[in-house]
Amino acid sequence: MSDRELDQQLVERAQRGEKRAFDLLVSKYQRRLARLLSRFIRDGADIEDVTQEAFVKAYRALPAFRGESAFYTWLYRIGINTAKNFLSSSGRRPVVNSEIEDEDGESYDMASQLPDYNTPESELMNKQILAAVNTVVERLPEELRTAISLREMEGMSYDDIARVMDCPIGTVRSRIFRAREAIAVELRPLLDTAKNRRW
Amino acid sequence: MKESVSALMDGELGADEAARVIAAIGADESLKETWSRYHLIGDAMRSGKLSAINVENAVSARLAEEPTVLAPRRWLGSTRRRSTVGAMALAASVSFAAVIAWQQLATPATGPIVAEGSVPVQVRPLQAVADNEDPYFLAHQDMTSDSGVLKVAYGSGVRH
Repeated sequence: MSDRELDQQLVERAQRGEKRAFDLLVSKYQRRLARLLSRFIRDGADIEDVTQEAFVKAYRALPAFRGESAFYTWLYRIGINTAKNFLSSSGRRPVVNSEIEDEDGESYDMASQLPDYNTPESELMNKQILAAVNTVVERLPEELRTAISLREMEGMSYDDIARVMDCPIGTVRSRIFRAREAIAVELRPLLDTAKNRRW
Repeated sequence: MKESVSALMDGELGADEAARVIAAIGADESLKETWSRYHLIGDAMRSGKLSAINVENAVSARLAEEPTVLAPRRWLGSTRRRSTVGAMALAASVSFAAVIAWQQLATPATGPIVAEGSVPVQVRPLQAVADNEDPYFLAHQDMTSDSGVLKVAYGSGVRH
């Protein structure tokens, strides 16, 4: 089952009334959508509001989604339209007036040098999370580090990773899981504080 | 189960197992948190900059106020497969009907025919059936193109 097929299954479940399935899509795409919207909107609180609104609009529009495009492409279009409406209604101008017409939603996510419009508090949290993840990944045993890096950074399938690492596919699955768990354990003290519980 | 969540988010489960794991995540808040944090880890590894955002709870709260979506749609990707299945079912039905008709034609059309351990039926020539006063049959007999085809009368017993 490909990533797109997984999204399709979650969407179909949401279309059958399973709101929890839509929650999983929100978890998956919220940061990518927010990064996209930060190209249009300056204020961090506004980005959060528009991201939230875009997901609600997407949920309402689910009956019209038939899978002609990937879910994220459809979601990103809703996000961009929501951002434009927000800017129009508030009389503001977009941060970056980029014309994004590419069918492939991933191209929206290319901006690695985004301007920083987060609050100092949230920016600190971001840096702490990034530092913690990077530190743990560096400390992982080589086989776990390689497996998780090939998966998350190179987007390789388990089958391809198994060939690269010359090991059974079940071993790849196990290594990636153990790497994620090791990172999650290190993040827990950071994320589970009352202040940061929302993460 | 957490390992299955990990494989699910990588798109590495079959459809059945994926459905099972998705259902489990929906029923277990700790698995939902695992799903969420694994995605956070992935986002952190892929980009040197995270977006300071978490709208999961806010969206979930707003969706709780929304009418539940109940709109299963026909997905474009599966249309061809479903059409093929429909065509095969139609072909099987036509074949079955042809076999039954052939068997009926090969059987002498006199007297009642009693199926084994079943309700007896009687095969009669068309005219014999048309002679009765069944208004439904009389109204629709013009729709049959071949008057030579024998008609089968079904009922709780033999109709005379």
